[in-house]
Amino acid sequence: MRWLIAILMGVGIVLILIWQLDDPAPDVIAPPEAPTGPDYWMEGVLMERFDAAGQRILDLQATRMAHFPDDERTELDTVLAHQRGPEQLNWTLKADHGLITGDHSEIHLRGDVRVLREPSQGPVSRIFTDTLLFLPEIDRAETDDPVRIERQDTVTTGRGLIAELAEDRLRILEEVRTRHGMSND
Amino acid sequence: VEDLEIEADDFDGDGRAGVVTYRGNVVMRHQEMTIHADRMRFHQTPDGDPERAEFDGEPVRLRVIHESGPDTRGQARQIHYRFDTEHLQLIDEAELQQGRQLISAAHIDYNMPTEQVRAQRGEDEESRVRTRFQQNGEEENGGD
Repeated sequence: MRWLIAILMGVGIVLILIWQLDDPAPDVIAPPEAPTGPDYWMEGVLMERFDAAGQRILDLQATRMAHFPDDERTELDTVLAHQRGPEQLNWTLKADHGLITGDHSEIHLRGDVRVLREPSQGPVSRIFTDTLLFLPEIDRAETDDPVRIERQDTVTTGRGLIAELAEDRLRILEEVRTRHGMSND
Repeated sequence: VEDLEIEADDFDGDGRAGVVTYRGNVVMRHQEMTIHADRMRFHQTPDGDPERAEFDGEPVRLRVIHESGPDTRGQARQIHYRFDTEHLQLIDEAELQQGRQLISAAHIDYNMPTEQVRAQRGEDEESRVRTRFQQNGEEENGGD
């Protein structure tokens, strides 16, 4: 009986060896990891964007810009974006850092984010928040973070903001509080 | 304009029109006056100073605290207020209580600095201006 088991084990081992030798799939060598670092970077950058009629609608400045091939994103330091609105209304967006997505449709701003609204007449409005998603193609900027808007002697705070730049419209979504001419402000 | 505070759930600022709309649990405090409403349209001058406010509510409630004497309380479906003249208009189912006197009318004008009150009836026949002098302790609670 023992010799029968021994023969069976031997046959099994031979079959496995044959199967291994016949394995058509060569060992695929994994492609080298795509580099996670930038493939190029620049300093002192000014980018300008024009509409179909050749009008300059947005210019973007940064002290440093780096492009990352793994997802085609562009990271910026010390960002300054300037968007022209209708009736000589100008919007300026500033932040410590920015990120432009690969399709260029989104600019994610973070770090001491400030938005300046400069109408042709009347006082300037200053908006302060922590992060801001800027969508230049649809003239919109939005955040879920706390916001503070200063205009002349009026200070408005709240949480969550949607700014429609072309329509010159600001919406604060929650916890709104406005104070004007308050002695302890 | 000093000491103005507004609280609300939502804020919608239209830069072109120079109007901000506050919605949801709106409370405006201005000096001794407090107004509770569902919605407030806040108009500012081109220089950014408060000009006037229009309140809507079911109803809008008003309370004015005086240095001496009882508070003035009021309510209406709409209240309009001018910051420069401190002039209040209570519109539609308006009521104004000063001490034991309760005035009801379609429209009540209340000039706060002069304490002048003018009430007007509405267009329909039954509309009247009513003034009632309440007994002591019968004062209604118009706002908080």
